[in-house]
Amino acid sequence: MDNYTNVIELDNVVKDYGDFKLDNISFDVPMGSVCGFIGQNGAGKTTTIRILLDVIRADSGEIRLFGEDVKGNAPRLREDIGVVYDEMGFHEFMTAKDINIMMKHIYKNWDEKVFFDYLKKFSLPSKKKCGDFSRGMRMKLQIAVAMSHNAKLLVLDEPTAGLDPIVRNEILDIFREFVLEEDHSIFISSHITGDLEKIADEVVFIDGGRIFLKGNKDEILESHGILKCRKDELDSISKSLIVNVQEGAFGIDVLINDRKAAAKLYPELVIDRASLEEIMLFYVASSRR
Amino acid sequence: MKGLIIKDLMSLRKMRATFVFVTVSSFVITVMALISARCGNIALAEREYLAGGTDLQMSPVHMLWYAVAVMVILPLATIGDTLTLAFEADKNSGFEAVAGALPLSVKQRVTARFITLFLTCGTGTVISLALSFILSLFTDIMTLGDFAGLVLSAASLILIFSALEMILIFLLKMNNADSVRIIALLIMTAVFIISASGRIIDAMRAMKTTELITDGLIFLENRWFILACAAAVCLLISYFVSTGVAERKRGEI
Repeated sequence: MDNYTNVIELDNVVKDYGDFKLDNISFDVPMGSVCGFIGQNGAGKTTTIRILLDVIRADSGEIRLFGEDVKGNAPRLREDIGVVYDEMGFHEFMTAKDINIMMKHIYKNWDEKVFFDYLKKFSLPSKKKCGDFSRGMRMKLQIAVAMSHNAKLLVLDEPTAGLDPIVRNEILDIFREFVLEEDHSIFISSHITGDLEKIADEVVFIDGGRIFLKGNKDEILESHGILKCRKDELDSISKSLIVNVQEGAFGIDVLINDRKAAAKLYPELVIDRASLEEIMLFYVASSRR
Repeated sequence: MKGLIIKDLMSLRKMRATFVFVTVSSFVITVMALISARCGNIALAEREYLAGGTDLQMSPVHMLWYAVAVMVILPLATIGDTLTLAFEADKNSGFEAVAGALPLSVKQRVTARFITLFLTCGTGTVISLALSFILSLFTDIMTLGDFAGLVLSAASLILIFSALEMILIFLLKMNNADSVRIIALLIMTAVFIISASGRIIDAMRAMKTTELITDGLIFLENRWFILACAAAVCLLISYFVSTGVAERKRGEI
């Protein structure tokens, strides 16, 4: 039995590039969960992923994978991690067969039967150059590679970006199937919040290199709401409930952080459920004010 | 690590085709020239030159020696680009990101690249030595030892060139392959000019530039072990500098 509860633990991680800084990033990804890492382009998602994989070193802070410090252990720990990027990364002249030959000499647990089964399942040709694959096929090829060495954790960096809704749904189904195993976890970064709303258990919001919200997705969706009011009603709303305010053509939208409390305090006002995208937009606007 | 070497060798398929083409072509041309020197037009020209019936400045066989030397070195020269081609292929495909997520350390990744270099250069050298053995059967102009000396000198020069390229790519973080090639060549040329400046000036003053080439070829044929030692030193320095820099600049290279 594995003696860890979180597959990923980041504790006060700092990385300063001068023009961009990851500022005291801390969050955990519990084993068996799907954690969505939400932020717009340039928010620091890829940098965080590169740090947690030990591709780049943090200036300070602690990073643990499967309960172990990544420093000095990263190559061994990466045996259990499947990584999918938004771009394929394999040489265009390579066929899936070539990739199999390469990977079976890299991963100790590489299972070529599983790999070719995935190719069949995803309808990917094994002898066609992957440079001739469509974007959807390239993503599926990466996923097949990531899932063919008995990985316990999938780290996915914008895996559904630029894909049509049908392929996106297919890919999300693959991820859902992966986490059916109780020790399998997924850390998925995306700015397509709709996908994360479908699949994530936990969410971490990042903007400008800072985490501004994290927690259980359902709890976050449950607690947040968009209160609709007029300008003159805004002053009566408790400031502690307000995350941010947006003025619209027909009134004011207020993102509140405690929907139940707001409903009790202001029963005459309409409070809608907020989507992850709306929560992200309100928080980002709030932090930039 | 073996997987990365396999991937590098796959990405050098184009180079392999060039190597085979150049090797076969230069071998065929050299064999034909050597046969001609034995019983063809070159043999006739040599006889005429020795009889004083021509105003050639240099013996045809001597000129043939220059040409054969170039032909022997040529196939190996085609694999001199192994490193930059492998780096370029990775850069163009975005493979660096994939490599960073593999269960391999930075040191293992750099080592894999050096092993790829040794494998390609080693294979090229062995093939060139085998062909040299065949060529030596056709001629008395050069012995097998002369041919082998030339091949080993060429292999050593390629390794020195690659060691320089590696340092330029890692230390100076150079992404432009052409700049890497040109700077490595300029450094080697500068070192040659500085170390042989006395000889070069003397030959220029005496208007005997061909003597300089002859001396150079004799050096390559007989003093290959000096270049081999220089290559070993350059590769060692390059390996330690490259792994150190790659570790320090992880994620950037």
